[in-house]
Amino acid sequence: MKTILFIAGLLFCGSCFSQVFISKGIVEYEVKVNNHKSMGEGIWADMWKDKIPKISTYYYQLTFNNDKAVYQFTRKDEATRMPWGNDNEEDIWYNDYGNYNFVQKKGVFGEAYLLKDSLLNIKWKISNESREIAGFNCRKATGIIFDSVYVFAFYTDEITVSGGPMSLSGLPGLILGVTIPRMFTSYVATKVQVTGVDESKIEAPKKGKQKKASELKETVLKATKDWGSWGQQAVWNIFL
Amino acid sequence: MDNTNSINYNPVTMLKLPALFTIILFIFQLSISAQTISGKIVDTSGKKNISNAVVALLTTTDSVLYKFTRTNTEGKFEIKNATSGKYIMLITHPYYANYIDDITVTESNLDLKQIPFVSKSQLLAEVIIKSGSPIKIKGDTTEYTADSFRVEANANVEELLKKLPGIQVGKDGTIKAMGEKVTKVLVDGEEFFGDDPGIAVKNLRADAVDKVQVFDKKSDQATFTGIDDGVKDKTINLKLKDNKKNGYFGKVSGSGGLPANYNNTAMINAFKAKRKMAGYGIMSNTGQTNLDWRDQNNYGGGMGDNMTMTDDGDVYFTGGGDGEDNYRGGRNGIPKNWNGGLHYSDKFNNNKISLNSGYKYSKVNSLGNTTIFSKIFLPDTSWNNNSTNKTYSTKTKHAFNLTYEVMIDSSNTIKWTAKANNGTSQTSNEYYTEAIDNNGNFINNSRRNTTIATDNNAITGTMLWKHKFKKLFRTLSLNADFNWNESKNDGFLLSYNAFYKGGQQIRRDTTDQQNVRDNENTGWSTKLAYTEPLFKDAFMEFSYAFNSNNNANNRISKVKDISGKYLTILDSLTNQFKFDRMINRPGINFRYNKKKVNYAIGSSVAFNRFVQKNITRNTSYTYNFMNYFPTAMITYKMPGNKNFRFNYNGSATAPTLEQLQPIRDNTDPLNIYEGNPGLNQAFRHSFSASYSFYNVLKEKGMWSNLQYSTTNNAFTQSSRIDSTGARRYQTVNVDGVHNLNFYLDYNFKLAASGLRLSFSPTINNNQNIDFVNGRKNTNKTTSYGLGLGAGKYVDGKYNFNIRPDYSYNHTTSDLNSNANIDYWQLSAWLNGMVTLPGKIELNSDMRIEVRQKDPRFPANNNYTLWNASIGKKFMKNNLEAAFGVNDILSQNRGFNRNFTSSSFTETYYNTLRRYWMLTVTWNFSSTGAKPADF
Repeated sequence: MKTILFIAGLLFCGSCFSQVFISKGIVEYEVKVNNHKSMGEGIWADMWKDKIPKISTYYYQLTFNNDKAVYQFTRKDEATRMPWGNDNEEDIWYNDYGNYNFVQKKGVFGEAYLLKDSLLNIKWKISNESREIAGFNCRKATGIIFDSVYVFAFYTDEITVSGGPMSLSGLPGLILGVTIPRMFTSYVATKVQVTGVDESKIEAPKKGKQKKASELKETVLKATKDWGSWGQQAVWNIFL
Repeated sequence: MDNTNSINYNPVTMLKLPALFTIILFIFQLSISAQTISGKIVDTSGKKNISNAVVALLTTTDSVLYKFTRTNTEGKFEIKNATSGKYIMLITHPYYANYIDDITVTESNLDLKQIPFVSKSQLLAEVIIKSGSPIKIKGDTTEYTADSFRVEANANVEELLKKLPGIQVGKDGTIKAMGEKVTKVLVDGEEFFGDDPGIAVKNLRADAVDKVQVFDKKSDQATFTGIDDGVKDKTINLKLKDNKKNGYFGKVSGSGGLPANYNNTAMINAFKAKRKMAGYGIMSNTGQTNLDWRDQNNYGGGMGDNMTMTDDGDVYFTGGGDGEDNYRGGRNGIPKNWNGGLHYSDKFNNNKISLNSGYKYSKVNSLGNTTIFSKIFLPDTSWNNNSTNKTYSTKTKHAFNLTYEVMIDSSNTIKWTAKANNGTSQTSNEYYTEAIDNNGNFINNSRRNTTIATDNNAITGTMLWKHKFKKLFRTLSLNADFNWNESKNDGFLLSYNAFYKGGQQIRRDTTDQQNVRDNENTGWSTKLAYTEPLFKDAFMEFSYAFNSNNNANNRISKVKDISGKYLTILDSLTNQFKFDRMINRPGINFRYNKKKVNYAIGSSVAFNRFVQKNITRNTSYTYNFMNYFPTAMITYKMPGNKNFRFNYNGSATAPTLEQLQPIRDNTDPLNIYEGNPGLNQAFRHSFSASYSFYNVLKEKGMWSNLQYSTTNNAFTQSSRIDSTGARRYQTVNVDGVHNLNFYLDYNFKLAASGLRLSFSPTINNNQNIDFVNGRKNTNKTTSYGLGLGAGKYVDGKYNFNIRPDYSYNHTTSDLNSNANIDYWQLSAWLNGMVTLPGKIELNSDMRIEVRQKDPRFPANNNYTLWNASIGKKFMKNNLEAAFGVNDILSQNRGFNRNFTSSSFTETYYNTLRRYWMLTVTWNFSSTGAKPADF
C-alpha cells in the first residue's frame, strides 16, 4: 500500500514539475488557547481552573493575495468556549505586506478602534527544522515580538505571500503554524483553499475610532501597568 | 510579474539593538554604500529556469533573516541595498534540495551568475559531546540521571541535553539522539505545550529535571492496536524531580501587650505534588476567631468550593458562615478563643479523583455587656424602656468535613460531601429591664437570671451527579441532600416581675423553673434538573425538587417541689410537638444567550403541606399552600463595557409553623408571642434595574442600581400593650409594604496626579405598616446619603484612602408624631500606608462617627477610632516585627440606633478599648515553596 502511494506521489510530482506557486487563497487556522496556563498561579487562578475548559479552540481565516491579506474570526468549538465569551470575535486584521502597513479593527476593552500603523518589525532567526502543516512543508523560524516574547513560526515558501495569522509577517512565505508560549496560544493551519478566492473581500475595515496603534499602546500600557502577567497578555493580544 | 520582496530594517529597530552594534553599523554605513547581489538559479540539468525559489540572506552569527527575494520566471534574482559583510545564502524551493553557501559582499555589486541547484550543503551545527557518567539502558529506553551532569545554576534543559552523551543539540536548536532527530519532548509523559521539542527544553530549568529518558514512541495507532506499523518517533521524556513539587511553608506569629492582650497563631502546610496537609492554631483575646481569606486557602480547606459560576459566566461567592465570625465587631461580647484545624487533601488517578477532608476545633469564652435605651410611642401615650444584659458564655465546637469527587468519564462526575458537627455551650445571663413613664414612675420592671447548657449535633450529606449528553449543552444533574440535627437544652429561669400603676406596685410575680427542651430534625431534599438546547443560543431548563422535613420538639418545664428540687412538672408549659413539612416544586425556565442580549423567563410552583401534631394533647393541624415563583431577566451589553440589566422576581412565602401555632413560652413575660392560624402566605414582587460602565483606558466607571419591591399580604406584627407595659403580639397580613433603593457610584482617576476619586449618592425610601392596640400605623422612612472617596496607590511607596459618608434620615409615623425623627450622620474612614527608609512600614487607619444629637437621648455617641502600627521585615522577609496600638484615643463605642413604627432604640455594647501589642512573625519554608497569593 505504502509503495503504491509513494509511486503515485512521484507521478503526481512529476506531472506538476513546472508547479504553480500559490499567490492567493484562504487559510483556516485552528487557534488553541491554554486557559489554565494563561491564568497563572495563585488562589484566584486555582479557583477558576475547575470552572473553565483547559483549552479553548477557535477558528480564524486568512484571505490573501500576493501582497495583502485579511484575517478574522470564523467560528469556535462550542464545547470548549469560555463562559464569558471571547472579545476578539469581531476583530479584523488587514495587512498590506507590499506597503508594509496594517489597518485593524480591534475591540479594546469594549471600545471599537480602527488602528493603523506599520507592520511589526520581527527579527526572524531561520532554522533548519521543518514540519509538514496542511500538506505543506514548512520551515521553522524563531522571532521576538514586543521586545521579549518568543514566536515559533513555521512558514512555507510554496505560498508566495510574506504573511501569516494576525500581523505576523516578514518571512519568505506564508506562516502556517505559530506557537507563542508566553501567550499560551498556538495557531495551526488546517485547510488551505486556493480556488474560489474572492479578492475583493481583501479590503481594509472602516469602522471604529481611528488611532495610531503605537499611540494607543502607550495608553493601554499605562492603564494595565498594575495588572501583572494577565495585563501583559492582554496588551499582546491587542497589538499582535 | 515582480516577485521581489525585501525587508528593510527601519531605524526604530536599530535603536533597540545593542548600542555598540548600532555604532558599528553606523560607521559601516558611512564608509560603505549598499550593494546589489544578483544571480540566476538553474537546474543541474542546466536546461530549466527555476522561478519562485526563495533566496534569503542570513547573518552568519545567529542565522537571522536579513533580506530575501524570490526568483523571477527566468530564474533570476536581485537583492538590493545589501551592506558589505559575510552572509549565509539560503536558497529553497519545494522540489529541490536546499542550497546553502557562505557569501561575502564587498564594495562592489556581486553577481553570482549561475547557481546550480543541487548542492546539499547543510548548516551542520557544532555538536558538543561529553561522556563518562551514569547512564542506564532499560529495554529500548536510555535513561540519564540529570544531576550527574553539571550545568550552571539557572541553566535550561537545552544546556543539560548538550552535556548528555549520545544527544546532540545543534546551533539551531535541533536535537538528535543516537543520531536520529528527536521529534517529541514530553514532560512527565505529557506534551509540554504543543509538540515542538524546542519549547520544552528552552522553558524548563535544568535543575527541575530528575531523569532524561530517550526512547522510540510508537504511533498512537500502534499503541492501540498492538500491531507495529513501523512508525516511530524519537522521543525524549523529561521526568521532573519530586522535590520541586514537595515542600512546606508556614508561619508562627506571637503578639502580646499589657495588661493581658495576646493574639498567637501558628500555621504549617506540607505538600507533595497534589497532596496537601495543613494545620493551624490560634489563641487570641483580641478578636481573631478565624483564619483570614488568604490563610484559609493556604492552611485551611481552601475557598474553591465557595465559588460557583453560571453558564453565562457570572460568578457567585457564598460565604463560609462559620459561627466564630459572629464575634466580629464585639456584638456578642469580647471573645477569648482557642482554635485549631487540620486539613488533608489529595488528587489521584490523573486528577480524576479528589479527596478533601478537615477537622476544626474551637473554644470561645466571651463576656458581653449590653445596655439598651428605647422610647415607646403609642397613640395616646409614650414611655421609656431601659435594659441591661450581662452575658457570659463558653462554647466548644468540633467539626469534620469530607468531600470526595470522581470524574467517572468526560460526561459524568459525582461529588459527595459529608459534614458532622458537635457543639456544646454554657451561657448565663443577668438581665434587668424597666419601663418608666414620662413622670419618672415605674410601669414595670423585671430581673431575670438564666443559665442554659446546650448540646448540638448535626450531620449533613450531599450527593451531586452531573451528566453531559453527547449533544452539546444537553445536561442532567441530580442533587440529593440529607441533614439531621438535634439540640438538647437544659436551663434554669429565675425571674421577678413587678407591675405598677401611678407609681404604686399593683402586682408582683416570680418564675422559678427548669426548662428542658429537645429538638430533632431530619430532612431530605432532592432536585433533578435537565437542560435542553432548543436552537442556537436558546435553552430550556426543567427541574423538579422534592423536600421532606420532620421535626420533633419536646419541652418539659418543672418547678420546685416541697423538697426544693425541680421535680414538679408544669403541665401548661410541657408539651411534645411534631412538625412535618413536604414540598414538591416543579419548575421551567427558558434562557436565551446572545452576545449582546441575554434573557431568561421562567416559573416554578411549590406545593407545600405542613402538618403540626400536638402529641401531648393529641391534636393535629394541617396546612396546604401553593406558591408561585415567577422570574424574568434581561441583560443588554453595549459597546464600551456598558451593561444594562433588568430583573423581576416574584416569590411567595408561606407562614412558618411558629407563626401559625407557636409553642407557649414564658421566658419573657413582658413579651408574649401568639399564633395566628388564619395567616395567609405573603407575595413579594421585586424589580431591579442596573446600569454600569467601565472605561479601562480612561480608568473611570459607574455602577448604578434601582430596586423596588412591594409585598401583598406582607407579614407584620400586631401588638397589644396593656397598661402594665406587657406586650402580646402575633403575625398578621397587611398590604402596602414597599421599599425603594437607589445606589450610584461614579469613580475616575485624575490623570495628572494619579488620584482616584469617587462620588456615590444613595436614596432609600420604605414604608412599613404594623398594628398597635388594633390601630394601623404607617411608618415612612426616607434617607439620602452621599459618599465621597479619594485614594492613591504608589507601589512600594505609599497609599491612602479617604471616604466620608454623609446621610440624612427622615422618619414619620402616623400613629404618634412624637416618633417622627430627623437626623444626620457622618461616618468617615481613612487609611494610609507609607514605606519609610530602611523598609519600615507605617500603617494607620481611622474611623470617625458623628451623629446629630437627639434631645430624647442625652448620651454623646460620637467617637474616633484610630489605630496605627509600625513594622519592619528582616532576613529576606522571613522575620517580621511590628508594634501597633488599637484605639489610640480610647473612644471606641459599640453602638447601634434602630427605629420601628412605635419605638426607637439605642443599643450600647462593650468593645475592646485602647490596647497595644508587639508582634513577631516568623515565616518559614523549604526551598522553593511559598504560600499562594492572588
